[in-house]
Amino acid sequence: MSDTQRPKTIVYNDDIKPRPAPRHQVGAVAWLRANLFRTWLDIFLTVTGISLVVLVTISFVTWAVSSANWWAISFNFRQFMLGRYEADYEWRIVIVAIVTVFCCGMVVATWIRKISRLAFFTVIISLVLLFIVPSLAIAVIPMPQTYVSASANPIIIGTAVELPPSDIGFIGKGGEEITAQKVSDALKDDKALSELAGFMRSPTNLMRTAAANRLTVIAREAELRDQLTRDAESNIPIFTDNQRAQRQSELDKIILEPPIIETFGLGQVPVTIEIIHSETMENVGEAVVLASVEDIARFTLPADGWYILRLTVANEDVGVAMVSLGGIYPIIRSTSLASSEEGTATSGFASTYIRMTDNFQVDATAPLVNGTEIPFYNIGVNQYRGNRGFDTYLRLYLAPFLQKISIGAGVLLLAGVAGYWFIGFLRQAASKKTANRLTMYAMIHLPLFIWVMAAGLTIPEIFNLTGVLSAVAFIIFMYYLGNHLGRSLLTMEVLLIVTIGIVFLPQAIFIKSYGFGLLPLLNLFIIIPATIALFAGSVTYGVGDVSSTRRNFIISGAVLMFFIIVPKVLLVTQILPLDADYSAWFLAASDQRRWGGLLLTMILTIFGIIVAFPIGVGLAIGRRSKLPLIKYGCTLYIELVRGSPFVTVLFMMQLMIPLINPDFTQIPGTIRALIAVIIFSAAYLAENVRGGLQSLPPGQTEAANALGLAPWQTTLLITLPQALRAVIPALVGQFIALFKDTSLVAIVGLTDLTGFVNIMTVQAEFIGTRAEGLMFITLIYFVFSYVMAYISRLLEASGSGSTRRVK
Amino acid sequence: MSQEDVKNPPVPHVIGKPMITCRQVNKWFGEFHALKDINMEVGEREVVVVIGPSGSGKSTLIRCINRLEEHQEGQIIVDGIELTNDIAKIGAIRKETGMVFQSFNLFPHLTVMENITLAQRYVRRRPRHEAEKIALQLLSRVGIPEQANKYPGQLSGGQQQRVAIARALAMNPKIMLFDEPTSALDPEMVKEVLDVMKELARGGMTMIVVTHEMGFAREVADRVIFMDSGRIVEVGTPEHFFVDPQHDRTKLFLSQIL
Repeated sequence: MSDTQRPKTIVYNDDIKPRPAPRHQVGAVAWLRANLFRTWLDIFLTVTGISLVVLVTISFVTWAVSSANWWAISFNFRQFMLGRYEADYEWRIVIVAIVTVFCCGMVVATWIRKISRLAFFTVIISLVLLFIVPSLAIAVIPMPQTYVSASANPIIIGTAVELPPSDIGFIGKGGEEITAQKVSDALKDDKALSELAGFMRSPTNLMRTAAANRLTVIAREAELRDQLTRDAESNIPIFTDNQRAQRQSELDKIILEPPIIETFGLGQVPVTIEIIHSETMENVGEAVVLASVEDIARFTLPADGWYILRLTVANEDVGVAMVSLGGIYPIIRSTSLASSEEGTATSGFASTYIRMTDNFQVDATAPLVNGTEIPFYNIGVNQYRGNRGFDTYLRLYLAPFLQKISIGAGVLLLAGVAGYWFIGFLRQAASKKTANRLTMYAMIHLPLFIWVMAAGLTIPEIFNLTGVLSAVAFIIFMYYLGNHLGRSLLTMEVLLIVTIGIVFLPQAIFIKSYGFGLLPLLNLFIIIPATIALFAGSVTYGVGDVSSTRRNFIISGAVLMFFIIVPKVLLVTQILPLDADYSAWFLAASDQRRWGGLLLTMILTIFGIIVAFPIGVGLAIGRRSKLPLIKYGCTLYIELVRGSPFVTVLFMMQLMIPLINPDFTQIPGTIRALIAVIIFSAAYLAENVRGGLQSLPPGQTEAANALGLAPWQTTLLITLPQALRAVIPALVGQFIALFKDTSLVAIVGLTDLTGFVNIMTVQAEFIGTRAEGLMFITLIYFVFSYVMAYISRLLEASGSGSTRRVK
Repeated sequence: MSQEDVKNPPVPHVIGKPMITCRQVNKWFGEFHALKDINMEVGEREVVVVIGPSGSGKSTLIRCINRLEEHQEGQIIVDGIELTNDIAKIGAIRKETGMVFQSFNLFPHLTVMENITLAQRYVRRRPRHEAEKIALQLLSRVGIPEQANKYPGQLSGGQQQRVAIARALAMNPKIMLFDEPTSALDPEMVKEVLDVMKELARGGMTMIVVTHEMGFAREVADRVIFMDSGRIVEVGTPEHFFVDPQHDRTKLFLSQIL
């Protein structure tokens, strides 16, 4: 019965309108609920996590803004960036940095396009902060005072004897006002004296410390008396007899000195203040006698340079005058060997004096008074004493540090933005294709550019010369080529790289400057004949009946080879003398032993990646080869290197290579470290790439085979592109690891970023600033690593034809 | 009757000159005997459908024809060239033989256009513009000219398989090998691929098709080959084969799938 009554199908025709979701299911509240407070465990983890983060952040920020000595970084900034790179060639590295960042901007614009708004704003805000914080701090926060003492007699406290120097050298800018006034507050009592805060010379500090000590003694005496009184008054004895006797004897031993201000008659004696221009030895303004605390001496400096502050107390006056100075701040001497002077007998140290509070510099040496160098107002002796407020630290340490960084960071960021906009403009004005192509060529040229600019060009490195010549030929050639531009460019690039390989590799091994002398022989019998044969072969082939593409390829090859042969022939036949200095024609060579800091880190990373990558890919393919010799050769190499620590490889390159051939000691340590980096990363890259190759379905190779593609075409066009794309995260991880692993070269005595921190902490002025150094290089490592990781994420998401691209 | 004739009954309807000849072909995977004494001839412009239960060696057979698998005994002659270890001969045969796979095997990192033009440019040495012109013609022929600039991952299965057919056709092959081209497709997409294949057959292409689509076999095939456990059991024209199968194994198979 029910079967007949129940309808066969039910159709719902009601139109249900969409309603808004419940309030607690959307927006920030929903997010908090869903992500932070979903379960009790979540709540626990959230609270614990946040408290940990807050704790760590607070203690770190407190350290960074209240006790870290950032002068260590700002003073050594150049060393951190370039090491001991020749000052004369510094401009080359500046150009390299700007061009590199410009190219990075181009890459981002070309292959990534979308920069997340967050990343964009982070950069902008940090940059604004870099510029605004220091200038604001410098404008708003008053500088702390500097305290000096003057006396006709030595200050003797306990075993310490200090005679305040009457003459003190300092540097100042023209127009700056120097003020001097007797210290009023500190003269009230010892408490005021001990709480004095500011820069102090050691005699002043001695008195300040003595006052503080005296206060401690008074406090201890009061404490002991109090204890003993309470013990005596109490019905039940508090102390045992022993304890009581101990305290009593301690109390008996205390001898309270009279107050320090009275002992030294602080502020009693009048003092004459003079400021003398060090070159003319003439007084700046009139000498001023400070008799009472109301007297203020004001001097306006006429020009930049050295000045002498002279404090005179009449001989018969007994007592110490303590003066607070405004406008005089500690300086530090930076000594460097000018590259042009190095090695010559007469070479001197070029000294620069830097005022750390505002990076003001004077190059002239400190003035001599009576034949000896004047005690100048340096950081080592005149340290900041007393409690430091946040504002003081901001003004003194952080602001000069940020100021030092901000210029470089600003210029580089502008370069990056310019690169980004340039490509954006090109995509509008020309075409997407042109923009892509330009970026690709820029990136291909960049490593060569970096190397040539950093290392310079010298004649034994013939490849460098021919590289430049062929680049010129290439540009001219391109100019006349017209519509086949893109293809020919690529062809030329491939040829250039192959030729550099052919020409450079044997020379790198047997190069004359490294003590071999095989170079001319090699040139005569192998390289030149081979190049001529290639040249002749391509010319004869080029005039035959071939396609326009192939003709382009051949002609460009021929032109390139021509430019490689000619200088070679000239040099080997001694028409151009081999050992002459041609550096004036191009770029003078830089001594690679002097490379350090970020420069060395980046060179090791960039060239480590560039050279190790093809080797790694080759090893990966080789390990999958069917030929046992290649297969097991590659496997042996990979497993051998992966089975040894990087430090071992580094030491092998430094210590064991000379055992193989003593001449190899001629190769600079930096280059040997680079080779070690390459050897090491190639093995790991090989395994990463092999993983990618193995992840490909066999159908891809089968399909390529079925289409008739040759094995090398299958590898280059089908398997490798897909395999590499599949392992981008692993590859970038490897690159980041390589970047950070370069810090290990510090162990073999190279001064890369990490190596330099060790050097910085033994500088007399900056002993114990390792934490600051490590913090700074951590920041650098982090920024670069994060940018690499960020770009890799974007590449994964955006690149053409990625397997993830399924809608 | 010779020994050979007993194993392989006389082949009807050989049209034109033979394109593919297999004589006593044997193939082992390790110890497993995958192809047993295969004797077969495919004439020019002939469409041969190979059917059989899974594991019967159908795919292995056609993969031997373009040397994706190596046979250990016997002769395979394709378009007058005998398959040996000579790389040049293998290349020459692969140039003349297009293959379509069950899992499409398009190159996911290349666009549809690049998939079709790649082998033309690197194997046939055609200039890019010519290759692209051919690719567009073929895409129109398989009915998806508008998908040229998409990536394979953005296409449906049926569209992907049609691109794969276009990619094989772009090489101007004399022979097309289809290895279960519709097995991985949703039912509603099977027809679009079969239509392309039918059109191809009508155009006179020499084809060997491994498939389970009996309707297709009936309609298009000149001959049907039934294989079981590595050997050819029965060969016949579709009319005879489906209506009046001779061998017991064939009868059993047909009764199970029809």
